[in-house]
Amino acid sequence: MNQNIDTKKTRLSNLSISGNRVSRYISKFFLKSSYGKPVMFLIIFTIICTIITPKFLSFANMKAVLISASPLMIIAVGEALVILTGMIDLGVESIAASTGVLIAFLNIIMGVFTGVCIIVALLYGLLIGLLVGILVTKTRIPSFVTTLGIYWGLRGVGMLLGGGLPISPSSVVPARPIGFSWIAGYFGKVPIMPLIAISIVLVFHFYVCQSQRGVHIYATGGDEIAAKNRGVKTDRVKIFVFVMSGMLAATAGIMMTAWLNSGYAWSAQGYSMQAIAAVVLGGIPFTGGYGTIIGVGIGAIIIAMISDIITLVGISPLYNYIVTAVIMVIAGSQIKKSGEVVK
Amino acid sequence: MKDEKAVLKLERISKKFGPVQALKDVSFSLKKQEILGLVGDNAAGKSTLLKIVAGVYSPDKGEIYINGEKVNIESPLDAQRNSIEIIYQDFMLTPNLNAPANIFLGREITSNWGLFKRVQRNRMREEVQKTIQGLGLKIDLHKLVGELSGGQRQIVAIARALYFQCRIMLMDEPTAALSVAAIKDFHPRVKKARDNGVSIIYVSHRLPEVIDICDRIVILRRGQVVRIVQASEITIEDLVEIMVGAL
Ligand SMILES: Nc1ncnc2c1ncn2[C@@H]1O[C@H](COP(=O)(O)OP(=O)(O)OP(=O)(O)O)[C@@H](O)[C@H]1O
Ligand SMILES: [Mg+2]
Repeated sequence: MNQNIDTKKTRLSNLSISGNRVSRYISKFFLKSSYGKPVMFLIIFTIICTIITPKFLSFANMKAVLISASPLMIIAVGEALVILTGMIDLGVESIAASTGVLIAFLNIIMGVFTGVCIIVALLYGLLIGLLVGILVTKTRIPSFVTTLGIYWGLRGVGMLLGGGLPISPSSVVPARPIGFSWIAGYFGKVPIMPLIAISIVLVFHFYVCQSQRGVHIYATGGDEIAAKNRGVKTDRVKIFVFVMSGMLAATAGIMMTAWLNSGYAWSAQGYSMQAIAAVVLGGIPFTGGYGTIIGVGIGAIIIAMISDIITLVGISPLYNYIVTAVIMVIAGSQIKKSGEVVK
Repeated sequence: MKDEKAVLKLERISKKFGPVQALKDVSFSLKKQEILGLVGDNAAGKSTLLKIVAGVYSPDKGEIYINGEKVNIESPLDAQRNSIEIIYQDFMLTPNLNAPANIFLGREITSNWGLFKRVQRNRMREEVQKTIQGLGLKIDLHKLVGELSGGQRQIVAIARALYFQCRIMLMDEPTAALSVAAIKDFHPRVKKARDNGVSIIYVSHRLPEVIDICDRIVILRRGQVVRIVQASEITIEDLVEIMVGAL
């Protein structure tokens, strides 16, 4: 009899200990781990949206959110790399848009083989990133100024290539379909765009966490002079992040052309700011050095959710900006670290 | 005229920062297995000199010889290649990385999968654990350096210099943030490094410490060498007077 009670007691106390451990683990995840906060935002935002309209959590809507978030997720990964080092890239949306026009021009108007088009488009992003990286490190023009130049300049390039009009299959006679439109399609039942975007997020998350270059990216953002004086080639790190940002923006540009079934110089408008917003939501401060790529991927999904819920509820898209602003302020107040200066 | 025993020889090193003449025609040599004190008032140019040898600044004029051979040290990497380690006065740690990542920064232990170099965090932590334990202070190696105390940061900076094998070690006020107890653990380590063949330049404002630990002392005043003395033959009072220019 007594023994029975005893075992029951121990079992109970064991349970409560493991219960404690679970809750401690959960609180540690949300408060201490580097992507706990973005996950928390995601959950809270999802709950609020579902309360507003239960349709939000439907499978079809979730799929729509992920698809529309895909190009932004990819651009935001590049932006995150740049901001991690303490710099900024304002040019990503123009790189994406001009790549979209370039690849539509090559594929539709020139009839270049699709594989070649994709390689050329990625090379284009690489070269733009290289140019930015060299301007920032060798001529020491601040990244804000350099990439602002890219932002304006490449809009112009896109305009010139497309003559200010979208390039679509019917731009030539007879109409020539886009060779890479499968990107906007499905693999079995799985939409390909989120598949690519999520893979990119995971690969870069792993790379930044595990590789030597990743450590150097964080070190450059943490204290560039200290990193340099320890023999880290900070210039190479900076060029690398801009090259990656350029190539990722180009990838997003290819994706958007597939999705829109046309290349248009004025596509991707506002993506630079949205990517920066996603990075901040993802827990990376403007000074760099902290935060994770998965967090940023989640940040991009939250940004896409904002415009989704506004469309779902049927209020004016103008509220998009206001809701984004409010969420940014909440997110921003979360990443500011106690005792540190804020700039 | 080759000085056989000089591991490091500086010849007429000069450096200006704008109008400020930080160093002027500084010449002296560091012998093998020697702890050479470098003292001087604030702004005398001690840190500037060490940073020149460490490849942070390049001198306007002058030559550096290592084991009798002229070397060009144009970057911190060049200094590392010449087997020079430095403890910076301001530590040069990145606050957002933990101690092992800081200690191995730029020289991470990696396993290479082609172009992808994966950092081996566990191995780096184990290595650092040994070095830090030897310094007699406990540091949470999972904590970011920005969350450590000033003295703990100094220990990390010291451990970084001690971990890597080197011929020449430059120490810029390595004990400024340390407690008396920590200094007691540190000094034997410096002497042990010397006995193991390392030549050391030791910068400090704590003159009793300098006289106690060093073999010779170079005294710098407003960027110039004013005297080189044997540590055993000088008193603190004389040292101070030479530093400020009264002697
Ligand atoms: N990066 C720099 N830019 C401009 N001036 C500098 C720089 N570094 C040092 N100086 C100047 O060079 C002179 C020597 O400075 P240094 O740091 O070498 O002195 P120190 O002997 O190490 O002094 P302390 O004992 O205070 O550390 C000072 O006048 C200082 O203002
Ligand atoms: Mg100094």
